[in-house]
Amino acid sequence: MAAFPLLSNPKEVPVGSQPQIVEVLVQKYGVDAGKVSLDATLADLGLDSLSVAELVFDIEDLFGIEVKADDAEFKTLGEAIALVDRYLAAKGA
Amino acid sequence: MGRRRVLVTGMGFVTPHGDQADRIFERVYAGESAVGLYRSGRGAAEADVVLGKADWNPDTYVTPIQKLAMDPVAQMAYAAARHALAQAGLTGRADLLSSAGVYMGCGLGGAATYEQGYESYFTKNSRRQKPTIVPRVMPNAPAAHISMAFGIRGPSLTYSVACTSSAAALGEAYRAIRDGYLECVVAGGAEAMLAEAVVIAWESMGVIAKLHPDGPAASVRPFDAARTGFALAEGAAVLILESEERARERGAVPLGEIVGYGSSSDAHNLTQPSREGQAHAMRAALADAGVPPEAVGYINAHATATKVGDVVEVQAVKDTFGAQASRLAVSSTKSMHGHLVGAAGALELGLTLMAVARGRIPPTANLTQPDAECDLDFVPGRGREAPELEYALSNSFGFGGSNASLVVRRIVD
Repeated sequence: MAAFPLLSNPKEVPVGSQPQIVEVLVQKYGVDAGKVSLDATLADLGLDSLSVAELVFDIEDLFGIEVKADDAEFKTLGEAIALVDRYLAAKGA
Repeated sequence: MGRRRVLVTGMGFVTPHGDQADRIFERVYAGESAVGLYRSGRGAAEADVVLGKADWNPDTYVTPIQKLAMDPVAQMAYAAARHALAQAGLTGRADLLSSAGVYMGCGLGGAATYEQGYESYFTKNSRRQKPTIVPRVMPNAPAAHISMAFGIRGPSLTYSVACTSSAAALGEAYRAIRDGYLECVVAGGAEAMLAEAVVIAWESMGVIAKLHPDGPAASVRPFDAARTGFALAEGAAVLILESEERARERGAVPLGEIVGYGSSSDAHNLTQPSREGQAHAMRAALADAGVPPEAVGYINAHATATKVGDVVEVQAVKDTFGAQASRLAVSSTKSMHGHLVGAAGALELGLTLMAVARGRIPPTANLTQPDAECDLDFVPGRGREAPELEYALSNSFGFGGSNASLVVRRIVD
């Protein structure tokens, strides 16, 4: 299922923020699921700086976290997901 | 450089009558109202209100990501501009558009975004709010999005003078081309203020039409003895203005000509209109056009169906046109599309241009029992054939006492 690569096999999806972040990108931001990959930059997915700021806001709401401005320096989707996962781990600890 | 002629080569609309220019005119000409009864507010404040909601599908114009940074007011402006540029044959013409200007009118900016932002702040009591609020709210966002979308690099200006906003934008754009500053301007207005608290604010002024026993379509009754006000409406209207030289050089088909613009201030009262101020604007527009009152065959009136406003405008028309006033056709198309506030002047100028081009005068809907003080020829009910119609005038009068009148002419040579 290349159209939705990150969710191709639910058993392989790591526990964490990835499925929900991808869902937000596809559902709210209208990102083509076929273009979603961990290596894609958010610009590749069609998000400009304002959209990225809005995405961070949505992610914070979704996971109940608050991303520090200094941390919001990710370029790729993979980096964004890793960042959120670190916050979630810290929150759970 | 002397005065240059200013032609209109494209028009685009998003209105309660839809987003197709020809269809909008046909429906208005037939006397068909597009306002409806909508539930507004919530809880104890919930009520049915006569409003003019834009009949369009934003998803056919903008993507979800674009919407993040665009309040509906900017989405409508962009859609109207796209239609207008397409009709003008300017789609994809970056070579011509890079030197053009964008002159837009907007009364309130991103009203829905304002409201959502305030609600979020006051209910969450948090300093953490969406980063897109400011760029969505700013009243110049419609102009900015048009500039960005079509690569327009000349002046991008926004006129915010209440109900006169887009008439002022069009008038100033006309002057910029007439006087040689620009060859082409994308000009018009946009307004989207049907947010619930905004509607209530308008209601509290006593200017919103009450539901008529015959239904919402019968509720807006300009010049009628039983008038109660207007239907607050949303939408956008954009016209492409070009110098005659530029339009002819590229073989554009002119739809009409703007020949005069008059602008005045009442210096009188924030909300009460002034007969003198309105007549001043109309006289200035006629003088600018260099035509006598008897040349004008039709006035698209500002006429918002308020008790005071309609009578004052009738008096001002009489002051301006003298004996000619009784021979003029005067109609209020707001009776059908509602009051688009910052987009009203541009929509009504567009309808006026279509009226002279087609020789068909749009009517005033719902005028069955004229007010004794409103005694002009208001073209009640249905439109009227007027093949000889050459010049027409469109009025816009705003809170704050800002008035604008524009004179248009059918293409005759």
